[in-house]
Amino acid sequence: MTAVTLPVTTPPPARPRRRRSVNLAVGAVLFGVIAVVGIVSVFWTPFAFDDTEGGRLQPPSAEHWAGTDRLGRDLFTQLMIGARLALAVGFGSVSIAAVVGISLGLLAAVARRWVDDAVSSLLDIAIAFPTLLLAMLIVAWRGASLESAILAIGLAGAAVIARLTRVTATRVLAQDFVTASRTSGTGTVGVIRQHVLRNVWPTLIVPLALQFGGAVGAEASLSYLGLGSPPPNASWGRMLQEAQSTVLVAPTAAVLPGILLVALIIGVNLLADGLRDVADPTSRSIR
Amino acid sequence: MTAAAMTGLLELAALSVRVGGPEPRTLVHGVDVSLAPGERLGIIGESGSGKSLTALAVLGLLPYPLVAGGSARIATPDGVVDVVGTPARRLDRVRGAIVSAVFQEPLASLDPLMRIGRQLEWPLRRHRGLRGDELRRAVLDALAEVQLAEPERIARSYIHEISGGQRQRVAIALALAADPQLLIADEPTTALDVTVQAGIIELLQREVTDRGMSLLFISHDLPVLAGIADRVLVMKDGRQVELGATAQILRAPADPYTAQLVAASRRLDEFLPVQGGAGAPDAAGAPGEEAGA
Amino acid sequence: MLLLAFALAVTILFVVLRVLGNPVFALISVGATDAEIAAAAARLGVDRPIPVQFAEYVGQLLSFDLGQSFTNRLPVGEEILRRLNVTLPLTLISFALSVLIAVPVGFFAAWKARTWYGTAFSAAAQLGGAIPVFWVGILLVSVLSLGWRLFPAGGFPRTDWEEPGAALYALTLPVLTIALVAGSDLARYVRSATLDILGQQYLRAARATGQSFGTALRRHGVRNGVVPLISILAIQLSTTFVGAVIIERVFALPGLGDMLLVGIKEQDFPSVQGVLLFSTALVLLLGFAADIAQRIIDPRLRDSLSGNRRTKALA
Repeated sequence: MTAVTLPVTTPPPARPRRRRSVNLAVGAVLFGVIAVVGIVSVFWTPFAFDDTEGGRLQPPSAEHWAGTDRLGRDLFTQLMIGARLALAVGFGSVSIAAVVGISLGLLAAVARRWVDDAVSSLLDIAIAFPTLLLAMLIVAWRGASLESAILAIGLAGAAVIARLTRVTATRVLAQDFVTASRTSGTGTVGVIRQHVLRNVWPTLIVPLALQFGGAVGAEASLSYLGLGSPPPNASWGRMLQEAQSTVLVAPTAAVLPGILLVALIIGVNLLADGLRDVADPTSRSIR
Repeated sequence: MTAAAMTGLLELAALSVRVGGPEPRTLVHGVDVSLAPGERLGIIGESGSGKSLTALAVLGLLPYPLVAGGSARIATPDGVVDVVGTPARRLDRVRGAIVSAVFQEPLASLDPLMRIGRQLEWPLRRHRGLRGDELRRAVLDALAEVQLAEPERIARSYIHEISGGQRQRVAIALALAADPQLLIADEPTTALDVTVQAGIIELLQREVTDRGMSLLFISHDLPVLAGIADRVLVMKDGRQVELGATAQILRAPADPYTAQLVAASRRLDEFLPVQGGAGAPDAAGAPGEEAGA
Repeated sequence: MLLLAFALAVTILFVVLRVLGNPVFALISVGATDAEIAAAAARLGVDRPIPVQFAEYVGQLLSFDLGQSFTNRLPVGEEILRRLNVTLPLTLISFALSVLIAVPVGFFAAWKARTWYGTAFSAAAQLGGAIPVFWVGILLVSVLSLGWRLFPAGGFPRTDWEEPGAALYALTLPVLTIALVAGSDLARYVRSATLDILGQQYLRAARATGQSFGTALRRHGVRNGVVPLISILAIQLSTTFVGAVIIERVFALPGLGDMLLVGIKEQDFPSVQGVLLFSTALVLLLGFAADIAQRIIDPRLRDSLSGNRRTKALA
C-alpha cells in the first residue's frame, strides 16, 4: 500500500426546494394587494369618508362598488381606509414590540442574575396575561384611540419578543467568539452591537411577522367592542360592528370586512411561514 | 410469502429501501445476505451508506414515506415471515420475541418520563407472561444481568438520572427481555465515551454467546466490528460492496473501497505506540487500552 | 412566586386606574366648579395621599371588598359573582368543546402529515385560527338564527339557570363560535406536539420490543406529548375566557365581559378594576396550576432550580 487515502464521502442528495415558494408566494400576494390598497387610500378613495349622499344600505353598484353602510357612506372607501389602518396597527405595534422587547431582552441577558430573574418573572406574567385584557386596561386609562390600541398591542407583544431575545442573546453571549472579543477589550455595549444583535435578529423575524397578524386581529376585536379608534378612522372591526344589526338586509357590509381581515391575517402568517422556510430549512413546517 | 424452506435465521434477498412521492429515490439498492443461528454479521459503512436503513427495514420500522422492497425473511416458530409486505400486526409478534434491537442513542431510545423498571415490565409481561412479584424480580434480574450495580435503585430511577453507559445497558436489557433469536445493534457504542465502549461490546458478546443468539452489528468503526463479527458486509451509497469472512476482508479485501477502509483503520492504529498487529481477527475490539465497564 | 405576581398585578392596576386615569371626572359634568371637583374628590377619597389610598385599597382587597360601582352603587364583588353564572359556563363549555375538536383534528393532521388530506386539515386549522372570533359569531348568527331561526340571536333568559334548558339553548351559538375558533388554534399546537412525538426514537425502540403502534403511542407518546401541551392548555383557557368577553357583546349576554365593557364606557372604575383583578387572578392561577401539573408529570422539571428555566423552555 503506497498512497493511502481516507474513503471519500459523497454528499447526500440535495433536498427538493419547491415547497418553500408556495407559502411565501401566496402570502406575499395577499399581503401585497392589501398593502397597495391601503397605501393608495392615502391619496385617493372613490368617495370622501363622510359623504352620505349614496343612500342607506345600498347593494353594490357601478357607483358604489361595495355598496353603502347604514349612514349612506361608501363601503369601498371605508374598506380602503380600513386597509391603511390595519397596516398602521400592524407595523406600529410590531415596531413597539421589537424596540421594547429587544431592549428588555438584552438587558436581562447582560444584567446581573437577580435583575435577570426579576425581568424573567415579569415577562412570564406579561406573556400569560391575555393581550386583549391588557389592551382594555390601557384603553380604560387613555381612552379609545388608534395610539392606545397600537401601544397596548405593542406592549403585549413586546413580552414575547423580550423572552425570545433574552434566551437567544444568552446563548450568543456564551459563545467563544464573544469571550474572545471581550478578552481583546471590547466592552459590553460593543459586544452587543458587534455580535449579539447580528446573531439575534434572524430568530426574531418570524415571531415578529406572526405578531403582525395577531395585532391586526386584536385591533379588529377592540374596534368591534367600541374601544378602537373612532371615526373617521374606519377599522374593519368597527365596520363589522355597525353592520351586525343589518346583516340580513345588507350582507355585503357584514361579509367583506371579515373576508379582508382573514385575507390579511392569513397572508401575513403565510409570509411568516415562508420566511421561516427560507431562513431555516430544517424546520418542521416543510413536512 | 414463499413457502421455500429457509436454512438460516435471516435471509435478505434484494432488500431495498425507497422513497416514493414526487421525486422517488432509492436509498438502499438491494442487499443479499443470510444469517445462520448464532452467527454474527457486521455491517460497515460511512454515514449515508444505508446501513441503518437496512436494519430498520429488517425490523419493519421504516418511517413513512420510506418503503422496503425485495424480501427479508425470518424463520420463526410459526413459519417463515417476510418482513417486507407483512402487516404490522403480525410483525408486532415477531419483534421483541424473535428480533430485537439496540439503537445508537440511549437517551433518545428510552422514555424520559417513565421509571426504568416500569419500562422493562412491558416486554417481560408480554413475552414471558410474568406478573406481580415474579415480574418485579425478573426486572431486577434483567438489570443485574447487564451488570448494573444496585438494580433496585436503577429500576426506580429515570433515565436522566443515570449515565450514558448505564442507559445503554438498560436498552440492552430491554432488547433481551423477551429472549430473542436475533439482536440488531445499530451503532450501539458510537454515542458513548471510549472508556465505556469496550464494556458494552464485551456485554453484547457475552450475552450473544450465552444465549446462542445471532447478531447483526452495525458500525462505521472497523476495529470495533472486527472484534465481534464473523462476517462483514461492506456498504457504500446504499449498495452492497463486499461480503466475506472478517479475516478475509481484513487480509485481502476484494473491493477497492473495502481496501481503503481497512487501510485507513490500520493507519489510525499506527499512531498508537503499544499495540501491534492491529486489525488481526481476534484483537479485542476498540483500539483502547483498559476496558472499563 | 404566585403571590408575587399577583401583588405586582394589583399594584399595576392601582397605578393605572387610580393614579393615571382620574376617576373624579366620571362623577362630575363639564364645567364643574373647583368646589364641586373638590367635593367629588373627597367623596371618592382620591384627595388623600397616594400611599394612604393604596393601603386602603390593599386592605379592602384582602377582605374581598372590591368596592362599589360608581354608576349603580352595587357591590362589585356580588355583581361579579352574579355575572359568573353566564361567563363561567360559557368559558368552560367552550373550552371543553374546543379541546374535543382540537385533539382529533391536530392528531390527524400530524399523523397524515405528508398526505394531501393531512395537509388540508392543517390548512383548515390555520384558517380557523386566523378568523376573528366575533366575525364567526356574526356569520353564525345571521345564518343559523336570523336566517334559519334555529337558535336565539342573543340574550340570556331572565330565569338564569333555574331553567337550564333555556340557558343552554341561549349559550349554544356562543359556545359553538368560541369552540370553532379556539379549537382550530389549539389544533395547530396539538399537531405540532404530535409531530414531535411521532418522530421520537423511543417510540421506535418501544416497537422494537414488540409493542404495536397504538400501544407504544399510548404508553409513551401520550404522556410525553402532554407535557408541553399543558402550558398551552392553560393559555388557551385564558384565551377562551377573553373570547367569551368578546362574544358576550356579539350575543348580548349579561356576563363579565359586558360588565367590563360597560364599565369602561361609563368610566366605572371599581367595576373595571374588579373584573380585571378577577381575570388576572384567574390567569395567574391557571399558569400556576399548569406549572405544577407539568412538574408532576415530568421528573426532569422537579429540580426547582433548573425546573423554572426548563419550564420556560418547554412552554
